[in-house]
Amino acid sequence: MFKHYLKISIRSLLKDKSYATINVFGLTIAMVCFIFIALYVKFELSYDEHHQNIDKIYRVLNNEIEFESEAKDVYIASPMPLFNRMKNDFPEVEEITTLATKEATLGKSEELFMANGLFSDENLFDIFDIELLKGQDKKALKNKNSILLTQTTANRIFGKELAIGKTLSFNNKNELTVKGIIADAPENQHFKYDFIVSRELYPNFKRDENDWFSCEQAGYVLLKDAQDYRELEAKLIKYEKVLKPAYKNAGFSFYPKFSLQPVKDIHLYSNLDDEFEANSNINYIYFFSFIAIIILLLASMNYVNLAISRYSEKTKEVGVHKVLGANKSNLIFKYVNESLVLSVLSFLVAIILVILMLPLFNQFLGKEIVFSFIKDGRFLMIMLLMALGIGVISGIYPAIFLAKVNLVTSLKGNVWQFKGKQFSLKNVLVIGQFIVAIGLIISSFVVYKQYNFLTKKELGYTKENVLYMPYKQKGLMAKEDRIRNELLKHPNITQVSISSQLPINIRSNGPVENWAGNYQKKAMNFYRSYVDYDFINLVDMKMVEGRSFSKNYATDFKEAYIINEAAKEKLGWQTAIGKEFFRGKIIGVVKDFHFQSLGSKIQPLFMTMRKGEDTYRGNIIVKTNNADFTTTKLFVEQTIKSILPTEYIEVKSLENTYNYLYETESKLGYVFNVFAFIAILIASMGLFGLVSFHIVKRKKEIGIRKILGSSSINILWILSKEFVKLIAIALLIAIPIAYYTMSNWLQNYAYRIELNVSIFLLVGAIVLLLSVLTILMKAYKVTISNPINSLRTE
Amino acid sequence: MTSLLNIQNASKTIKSGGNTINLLDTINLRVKEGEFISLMGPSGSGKSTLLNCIGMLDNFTAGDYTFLDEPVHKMKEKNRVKLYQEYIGFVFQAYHLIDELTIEENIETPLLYKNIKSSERKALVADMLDRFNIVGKKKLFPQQLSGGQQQLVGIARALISNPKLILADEPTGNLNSKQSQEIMELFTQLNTEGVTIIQATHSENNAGYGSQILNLLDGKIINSQ
Repeated sequence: MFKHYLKISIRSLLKDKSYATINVFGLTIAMVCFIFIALYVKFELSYDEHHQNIDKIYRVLNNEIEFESEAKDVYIASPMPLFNRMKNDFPEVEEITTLATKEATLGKSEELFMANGLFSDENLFDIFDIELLKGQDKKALKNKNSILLTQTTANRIFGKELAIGKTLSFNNKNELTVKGIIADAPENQHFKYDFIVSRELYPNFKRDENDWFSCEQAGYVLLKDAQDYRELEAKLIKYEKVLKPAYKNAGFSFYPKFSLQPVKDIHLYSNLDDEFEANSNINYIYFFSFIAIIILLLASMNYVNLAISRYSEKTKEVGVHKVLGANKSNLIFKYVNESLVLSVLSFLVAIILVILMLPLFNQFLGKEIVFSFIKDGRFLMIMLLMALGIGVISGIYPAIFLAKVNLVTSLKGNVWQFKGKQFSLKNVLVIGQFIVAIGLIISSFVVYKQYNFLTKKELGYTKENVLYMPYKQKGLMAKEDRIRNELLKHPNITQVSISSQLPINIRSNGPVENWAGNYQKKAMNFYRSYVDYDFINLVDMKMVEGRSFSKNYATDFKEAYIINEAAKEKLGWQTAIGKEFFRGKIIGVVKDFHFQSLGSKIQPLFMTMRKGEDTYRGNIIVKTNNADFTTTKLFVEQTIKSILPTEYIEVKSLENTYNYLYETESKLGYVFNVFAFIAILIASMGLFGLVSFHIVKRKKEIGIRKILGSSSINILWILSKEFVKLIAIALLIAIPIAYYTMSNWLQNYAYRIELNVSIFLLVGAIVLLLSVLTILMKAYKVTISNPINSLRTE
Repeated sequence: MTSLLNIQNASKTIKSGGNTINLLDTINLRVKEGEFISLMGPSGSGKSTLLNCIGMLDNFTAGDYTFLDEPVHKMKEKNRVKLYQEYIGFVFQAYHLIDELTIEENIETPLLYKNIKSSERKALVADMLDRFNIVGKKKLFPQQLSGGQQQLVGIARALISNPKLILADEPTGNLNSKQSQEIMELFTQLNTEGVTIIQATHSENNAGYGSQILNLLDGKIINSQ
């Protein structure tokens, strides 16, 4: 029986090629989108899942808390002695290791290679699953003269030669022996590497190893079975109690508080300053899953609508099958079978397209998602089940409808005589589809305009032609003037600033309780930036009130504060100058600038002069008058090296870092537009199909009208009228829904476009135009044909 | 001869725009096995409706209908389907072959719905193709045949489940006179082999092949010859 149906399904599809094409094409595109999104979501969710112990691994986070204000900065690096202590102090800790990454040069004779190194100890292999291909892993890392290379790095350096046992120079200093070859770092792992070496090779390891005040390495803890990490986290207060006074005595402005973070949450839920790589966000996952479902839904709706449009042709067939003895379930099975054939066919085409277009998709997203029939067997099965599900779901409704058709009338093939009820049901479906299409078009317009608005928005500072070098060193302050003067000697360097934060990403924040007029000592949260005299000028920020920090005022260093407009507004001040604030007075108000993602609201912020105790971490910022960074970069590197021989030096461009920080966001915006466009395409195809079948069905009516003397124009109007009416109803329903949803969505953005009438008018016009064009195109053919021909078909 | 079906005081009415229309009016009809009945009458006299009701595709709205001693008017749809699957075959003016299926597959379809095993189906279809001398055309699709040949297939399909009764609604309406004659001769032959036939027709000539002619007018049997 199944074979029989399959045969009929395939033959009837072949017979009705335009119907089959619209359906297969629409479903295929929808499935391609769905599979891509599913692959992306699966990839993002798979981060670090390949480690067997993943549910028991936690990262130690270092919350640096300011004494004065309780302001909090969270980092992944903690002091090294903590890790030794933790293992001894808490029996629930099974194992502990540290990770740090840094670029280094590896050399074989004359040739030098830059590679990204992971610095750790032998416990790394007990906690994480790192595949060893050849040689030793754990044993090798006990020795600081060993190095483990990934397969790719080994091939790059040694080519086809056997790498194990060979030596190479590390940063032109140490001679290391290759002891093992490991698999390349998985793409879906939150830390990547080209080689692994002992952490003793990390810059200043000896200095930091027993230093409670130096934070370079991130700690990873493997807990014993059935241990609650929150309980352990609570016990970590033990260290805070000791470290708080110690940090105070050492002259720090903050003290560390430690917390634990599940490693499986890092990729999607963690976004700290010093992450190993820019992480993703769970909201993207939700967003894309939603789009995928909408696209599939649209394609299924297309199918249902088109299938129903074909009732008139199908009813005779139903009648014949009934006469030949088919019962209702036979018929439902038959028509579900037909949609199953379509969806499976689309699925096969979709899989082929996915395989062909995967490199493009990866390039687009900057990911390296792989798809293999063997490894992704389960994924494929799920996708196939989804395809079957779509087949059944979209087939069952038309099938039930057809199976119920009255036998005698169906044989006459005139079920579609105008009878109010049947018709209105189809109208509901058509309107439903238009609503989704219109809603999507409006949404993608709004999303597009919003992203466009954000990317064009003024940042409030200049990121071009700025180089910076992060540092982490206590006592750099003493050499501040020397650094500045040496750097300014270069003709390309116009300004130098040594400040704690970069304007692109300020996260340090905490409460302030003291300001003029705050009698109840309410606390208000402020972001904070510790700068020097040149900072504001260097990054081109505008003062809207008062002045910038200046050497001409002796008190500026100790007690001057500059707030941003957002702060002034929140404080409710008319003028700010001279008002008491925190531990001093306000000297100026800086124009709001975006120190976080463009989407988020600019929060109150204050800037103050950086004092000695705040200088442990910061950035040396350099403004150049030349877009060619290479020579300037080299000069900065050499100069700093000569002044601070122990500091690890890496000079970066502010603009590049900015792009890196916010690239996922802009890429995803782009990808959304592509998917929205596809959704619209599918909806339009559905419209095209509907109109076509609607007109074919009315061929006879058109023939009669022509014989009665109706003009072609008149007939076109009659045909369009009905659809225009449906679209108008759909617009009336869709616009309020779209308006409501999109204004809600825009609420996520502090800076957003206004939803005005023009968007809705434009979309309405586009949809109407598109439908009328389709109608005209299709109807024209029918109206110019000889009426005798269309009447003869009966 | 035993009685195949018995219709007593049966009527069919429909409502249309507030008026009640009598499609069939107090029909009394007894058909014995082996009869060949021709229904005649102008368009709209109720021939097709009567055939559909006899064939259980449609129901009388009043009266009693017994088929092989089973009270059809009291049956549930499911049992009715079983009954006509077993005993009734239909032949239509427009043939109603399934376009997507070959001749062979068209003839096979009724057996599928009776859940007959594949090997048995193949054997029955092969016999039927032989009997109608259309073995050479079995792989063709209906559109590739002439009208007469298509109707031949339609009859073959009606006969495949070995029915006691064949209902034919204007079986030669779309055919020329030579093709008509062939189909009528086929019916006569089937009748002599024991199949009961009821046909609706406009043609005096075709009606003459029947052993009995019933004239219908406005839903009533006005006389029988």
